[in-house]
Amino acid sequence: MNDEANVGVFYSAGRDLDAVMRQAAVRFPDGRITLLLPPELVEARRNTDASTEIITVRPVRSVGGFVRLARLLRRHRFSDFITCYPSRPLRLLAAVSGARRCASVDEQGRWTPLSASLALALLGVACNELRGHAAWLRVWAVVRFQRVRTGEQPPRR
Amino acid sequence: MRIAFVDPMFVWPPPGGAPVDLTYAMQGVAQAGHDVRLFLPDRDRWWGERNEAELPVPATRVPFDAAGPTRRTIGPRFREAVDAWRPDVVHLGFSFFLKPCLAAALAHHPLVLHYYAYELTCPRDYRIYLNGRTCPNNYLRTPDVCRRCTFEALGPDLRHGEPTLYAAEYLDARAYTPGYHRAVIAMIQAARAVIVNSPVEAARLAGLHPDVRMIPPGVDTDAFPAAPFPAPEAGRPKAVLMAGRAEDPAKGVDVLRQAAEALAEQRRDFEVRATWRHEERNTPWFRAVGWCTGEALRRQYAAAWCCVMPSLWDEPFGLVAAEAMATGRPVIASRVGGLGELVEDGVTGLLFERGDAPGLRDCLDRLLDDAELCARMGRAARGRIERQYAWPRIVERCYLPLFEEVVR
Repeated sequence: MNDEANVGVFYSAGRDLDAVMRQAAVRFPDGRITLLLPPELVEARRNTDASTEIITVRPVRSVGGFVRLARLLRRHRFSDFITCYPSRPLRLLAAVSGARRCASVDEQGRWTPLSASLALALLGVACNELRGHAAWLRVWAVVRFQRVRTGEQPPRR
Repeated sequence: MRIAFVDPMFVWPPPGGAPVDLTYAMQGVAQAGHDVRLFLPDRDRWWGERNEAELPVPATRVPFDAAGPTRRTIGPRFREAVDAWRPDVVHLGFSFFLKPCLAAALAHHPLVLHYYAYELTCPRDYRIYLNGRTCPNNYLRTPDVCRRCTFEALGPDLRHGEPTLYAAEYLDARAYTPGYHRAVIAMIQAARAVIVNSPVEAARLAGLHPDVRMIPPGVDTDAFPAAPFPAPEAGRPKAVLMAGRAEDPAKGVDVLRQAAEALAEQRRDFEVRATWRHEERNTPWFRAVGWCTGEALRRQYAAAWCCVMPSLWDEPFGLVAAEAMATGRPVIASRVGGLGELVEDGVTGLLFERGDAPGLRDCLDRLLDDAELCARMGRAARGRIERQYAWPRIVERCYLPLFEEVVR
């Protein structure tokens, strides 16, 4: 599809990476594919045919870790960045990767384009947080103030 | 008789637990001459590499959009598919929080409700195991306590707007509301019969339904054939196996480690093998063998002198123990939940009290000293499984009479 594609595939522990890598290889038959993996998965993926390179990435636990990961991704100058899920954190990561095209792909080959715009990704994260906090508050209020009438409620903890 | 098995969480091929149980039950009922069909959501991600053509019974995949089943769609869609097939009885299997919606939509059929692990009595998780002990609460009887506890556990997940499947279903099904509790009670009462796996589970439903049936999961005795007892060899350690989800703290691996450590001070002729991945915690007498299934698991059972299930939570049944027994190995188990029923103390294995590491050490010491006792208990264990827990026996003794009674 794209002779000069430099494709970064970001790992997911939950998804079948073999299937996702196969999808990437089909989409970019002549592209250079780099698989970004945490240290514990590197050994198991040594023989992944589709990847021309494996890069170890540290799990992100802080803003500093996220910035370091973003810098690493940008250094590789990916033309395409693929994630296994279209989750908000991965959308954000895709947006800061510097890639021109970003997408999430699942085992069945469904491609979901992700915005490469950092502003849109940040807006998405903010909206999501807002929605999440609103849901949390709603549930808290119901659990706190609405009781179940059963007639038997021993106060046990 | 036409029997519809409805299971929104079915996974093919079944990795373990409820889908395995359901697969064998459906297969057995179909082999008995009944017309059986599985109804499940049409979701590709729940189908592995194997084709649904390999399923032991025909299936109807109920269509849903990308969001999957929701509170509003799950009932009408399944109802339409099931009604079109005109079953005589509907068996409702494992689900998360949407089960009451589904039950309400199918309640016009004779309904058999299958209750897996502690799904109805603990919305927080299925183990009723909290802070290192079995939780005394029961959502059916102490709903407000359990609602608060569930919210404490799922709240952080909700706050970031991208909840897990479990938390998303909790939100969608409005499982935090008082109305949801009424829906759960209504579901239990609408069923003609309720299936549980063990007396412990039955006790938690006591008084809520007049016909709670205890049906243990079966064992595929062909998949786990009796293996000859490993011959003692000089210089080779006697293997003690802990199979299953050893990573789960509720499974009690720490109790086993304590017991083995104490035993290692007296003797060095044994090795505990656990199906977990933490090789960094290996010791000369404790070895991680990684997650094992299929042939690898059968080899582990066959190589072991005995198997240990030091569970701290009330195991609904103890399938790993049953598989070990089918292979002809004695089981040392804690006296919890279904394990206390499955293992006959002194006959098919040994029982010790929950969390009692010295007690477990003594049991291990006794079996490791006596190959003849191990072999004898192993033979008795195999016999018990063949007589009571082999799938054809379970289907013949439990499922077929149940469906016939429900239809009458």
